[in-house]
Amino acid sequence: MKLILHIFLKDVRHLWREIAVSLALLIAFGRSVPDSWVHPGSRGYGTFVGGFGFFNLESWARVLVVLVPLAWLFTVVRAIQGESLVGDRQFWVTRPYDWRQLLAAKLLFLLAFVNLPMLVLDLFLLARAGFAPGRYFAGLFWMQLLVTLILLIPVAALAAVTASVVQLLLTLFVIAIYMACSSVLAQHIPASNFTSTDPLPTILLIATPFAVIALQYARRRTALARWLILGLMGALILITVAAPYRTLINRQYPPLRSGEQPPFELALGGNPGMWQPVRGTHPEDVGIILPLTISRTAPDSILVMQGSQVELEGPNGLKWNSDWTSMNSMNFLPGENFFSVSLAMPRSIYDHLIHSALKVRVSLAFTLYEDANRRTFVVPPGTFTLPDASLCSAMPIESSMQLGFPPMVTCLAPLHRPTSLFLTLKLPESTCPLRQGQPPLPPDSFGRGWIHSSDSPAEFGISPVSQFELAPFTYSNVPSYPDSSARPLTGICPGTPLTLSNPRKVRDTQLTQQLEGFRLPEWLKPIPRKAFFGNTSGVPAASDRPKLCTHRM
Amino acid sequence: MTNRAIRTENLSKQFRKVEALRNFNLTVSEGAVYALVGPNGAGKTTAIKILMNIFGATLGHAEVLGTDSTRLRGRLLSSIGYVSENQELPDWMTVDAFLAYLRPFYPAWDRDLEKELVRQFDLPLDRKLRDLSRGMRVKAALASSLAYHPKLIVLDEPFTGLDPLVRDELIQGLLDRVEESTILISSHDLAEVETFASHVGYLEKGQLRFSEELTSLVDRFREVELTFETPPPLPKTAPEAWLQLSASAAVVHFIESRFDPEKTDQQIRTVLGETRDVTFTPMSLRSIFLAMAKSGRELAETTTNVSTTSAAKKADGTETSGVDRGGAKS
Repeated sequence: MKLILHIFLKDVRHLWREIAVSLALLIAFGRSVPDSWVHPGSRGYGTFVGGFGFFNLESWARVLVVLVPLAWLFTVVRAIQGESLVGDRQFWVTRPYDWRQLLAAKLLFLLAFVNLPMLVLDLFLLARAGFAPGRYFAGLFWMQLLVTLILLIPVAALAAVTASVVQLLLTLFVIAIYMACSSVLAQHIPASNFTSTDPLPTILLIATPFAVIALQYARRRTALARWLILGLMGALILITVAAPYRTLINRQYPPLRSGEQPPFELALGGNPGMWQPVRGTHPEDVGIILPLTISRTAPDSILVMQGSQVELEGPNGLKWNSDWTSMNSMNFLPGENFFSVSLAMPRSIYDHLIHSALKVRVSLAFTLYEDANRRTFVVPPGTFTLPDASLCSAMPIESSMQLGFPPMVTCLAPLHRPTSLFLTLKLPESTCPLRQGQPPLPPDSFGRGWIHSSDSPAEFGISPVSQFELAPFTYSNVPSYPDSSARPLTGICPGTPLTLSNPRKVRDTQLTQQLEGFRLPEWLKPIPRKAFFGNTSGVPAASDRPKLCTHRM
Repeated sequence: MTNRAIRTENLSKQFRKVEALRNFNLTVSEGAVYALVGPNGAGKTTAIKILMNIFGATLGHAEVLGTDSTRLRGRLLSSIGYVSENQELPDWMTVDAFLAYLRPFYPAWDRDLEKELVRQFDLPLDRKLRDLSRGMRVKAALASSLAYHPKLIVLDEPFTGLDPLVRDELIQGLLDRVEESTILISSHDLAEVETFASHVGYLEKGQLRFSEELTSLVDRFREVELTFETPPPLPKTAPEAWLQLSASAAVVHFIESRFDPEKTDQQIRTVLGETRDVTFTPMSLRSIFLAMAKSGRELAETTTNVSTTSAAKKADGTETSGVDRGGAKS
C-alpha cells in the first residue's frame, strides 16, 4: 500500500497541471449546468436558452460537457504513459515495481481525479436541483460505472498500448477511419443496422479493454495486446458481416402466435409525401415509397416500431425482399397512424415488377406498451413534484413565445428521465391565455406526449440531472392553419388539467401481414445520384423525423 | 567454487528477419567484472535486455542471480542495478526527487552511500534530469543504481559519448563497488574496459566469439614478426591460430592467437623454416579485437565453444584456459 501511495503521489506531483485544469473545468461545468436549467431559481429560467451564441449559458454547458471528459481522458492517458508500458527504454522496467502495485496506483489516480470529482459534482448538482443526494447513491454509482466502462477503460487500454499522446491520437484517428469504413460496410449488409439484437459485440467491447490492460501491466506484451485490439476490430466486422440477423431478430421479436389477435390493423395507403426516400447502397437502385396505415390499435396501447421488412411478389412468382431495416423506435399511439417505409430496389427487379399489381408482405418488429396508472393531474403554480420524483414547473409563457412553442412544463429528473410518462391534454381545457383573435378549438381536440427512457438506474453522462419538457408533441383533431401566426397557442399552464399515465412494456413481438394491390410506379421516387452517407433503414434519420407519427382518431 | 551471477544457454533473438542473437552462451561468475565487447549491432544490447527481462528471447534460456530471466520482475530487481546509455529517465524530476522517489522501492537503500555517490559524482540535486548533460544523466542513473548495494550491476554502453573525466569518475564509482557486486558491462570502449574488467567476451553478429579472463586473453595473443634470410614462400594453409598472415620481402607478420613461446616457435619452424629473427609483441585489447575483426573471424568459429565454457571454469579455479599456454612471454 505504501508503494501504491508513493507512485500515486509521484503522478500527482507530475500531473498537477492536468489535474488542476480538469478540476477547473469540472467546477466551471458545475456552475454552468444549473444556470442552463429552465427551472425556477436558475439563471436560465425565463430566458431564451436554446441558441448557440458564444456566451449563451446552455452553450457553455454543452462545450464543458465535452471538455470535462476530454480533460479527464488526457489526464488518465498521461498518468498511464508516465510509466509507459510500450518500449524497452523506460527506466522503471528495470526497477522493482510490482505490476499490481503500479496498476493499483493508476486506478487510485483514476478514482481520485475522475470518479471522486464526478461523484462530488453529481452530489452538488442533485442538491442544487432540489433533490436529496443521499437517495441516489446507487444510481450515481451506476453512472460512474457507465463512464468508466464506456469512456475511461477503453481509452486507458489504448494508452497502455501507445507510448505517447501523439501515438494515441494517431490510433484514435485510425479507429475513427475504421468506424467510418464499418459504417459503410454495414450499409451493404442487410439488417445489420437493426442493432440491439446481438449482445456479443457489447461483451467484446467491454471485455477486450480489460484484457489489454491486464496483459500490458502483467506482462508488457505490447504486440499481443495490440493484436487483441485488432482482433476485436476484426471480430466486430465479422459479426457485422456474418451475424444471423434474421434468427436474432426472430428471437428477440417472436412472431405472434397463430390465432392470436394482432394488436393493430395494417393497410396500404396514407400520405406518402411525408417521408423522403433515402439512397440505396447501389447507384442504380430505385427508390420506392410504401405508404402504410396502422389503425384499430387498442385504446390503451402504444406501439414502438423497431424494424420493418417488406417482401414484394409479382404475379409471375418473382419475389424481392428488403430484409430487416431499423425504424428507429417510431412511436404509434392509439388511433389511425400514417407512415411509410422507403425501399431501395435494384432496377433489374423493379423492371420485372413495374407493370404488375403486387402482393406486399410487410413484417413489423415492435414493442407493445400498455397504458397504466392513469390519473388526472392539475398543474399547480410554481414548482411541483411528479410521482416519479421529477421537479417540474410551468414555463413562463413569454419564454415559450420566444422559443415558438406552446406553453409547457419543464422538469428536472434525478439520474434519468421518466422511464415512461404519457400525458394527454384536452386542448379546450388548457388554461393558457388565448392569442388575440385565436379561433376556438374543437371540443374533441387534444394533444399527447410520451417521455420514455431506458429503465437502467441512470443515464450515461456526467450530470445526474436530466431536463425534459412535459408537453404534447402531437395534436389530434386540430384544424390546419396555413398561417403559422394564426395557429392557436395552446399548451400547459398552471391550472391546466392533464391526464398522466405510465405505459409499461408488455412484450416484443412481430407481425407479418400480406397486402394486395400495390403498384410500383405510383410510389416511385427519384433517388439522387450524388453520393452521401445515408441511412438505408427505410426511414429518415432520427433527427429529421417527428417524434410521433401523424395519426387521426 | 563460486556461484554464477549470469548464465545463458543457446539464447537466440529474432527481430522479424534479423537474427540479433544466435546461440548465445555466457557465464558470468559472481564477483567478476565482465566486459561484453563487440562492434555496433553485434547484439550486446539485445543480450543485456533479455537478461534484464526487458524483452524475451526467441529461443534459449537465461538465468540471472539464479532466477529465470523471464521471471525477473518486481522485488527480484531490487538486487540488480541497470544503467543504459539510452534509458528514458523521468526528466521532469530533479536529481534529488529522482533519488527520493526510488528509495522506497529498495529495502537495502543506503542513504549514506547515496550521499557519498552524489558527492563523488558531483551531482546537482536541485537540477531537473532533463537539464543535465549526458554525462551527468548517466552519473545520476548510476548513483540511483548503486545506492542499494546491488548484487549485480548491468551497464549497457555507459561510456558512449562521455568525456574522459566523466568516464574516469564512472569507472572509479564502479571500482569502489567491485567488492560487493558482479558487474556486466557492454562497451565499445576497449581501452577503458581493459583498465578494470576481469573477464571479457567478444560478441559479433549475434554470436559470442570467445569469453575468457582478460589476462589470459592478453597472454595468448602476440603480434609476431619474423625476419628471414630470403623471402619465404607463404604456406597455402597456415595454422588456424595465425591471423592476418602477410609477408613483405623477407619479413613475415601474423597475429598468434594461441601464443606459447616454445610451441609457437616450433610451429614457425615447421611451417616457414628457419628464421633470422623472431619478435613477439604483446597486444592491447583494442589491437586484439581489431585483429579479430580483420581476420575474417575464422579462428573465432573454432574457439567460441571451448572458451565460453572454459571462462566459467577458470573463474571456478578448475581450469586455466581454453587453450594450453606456456609461461614464457616475449
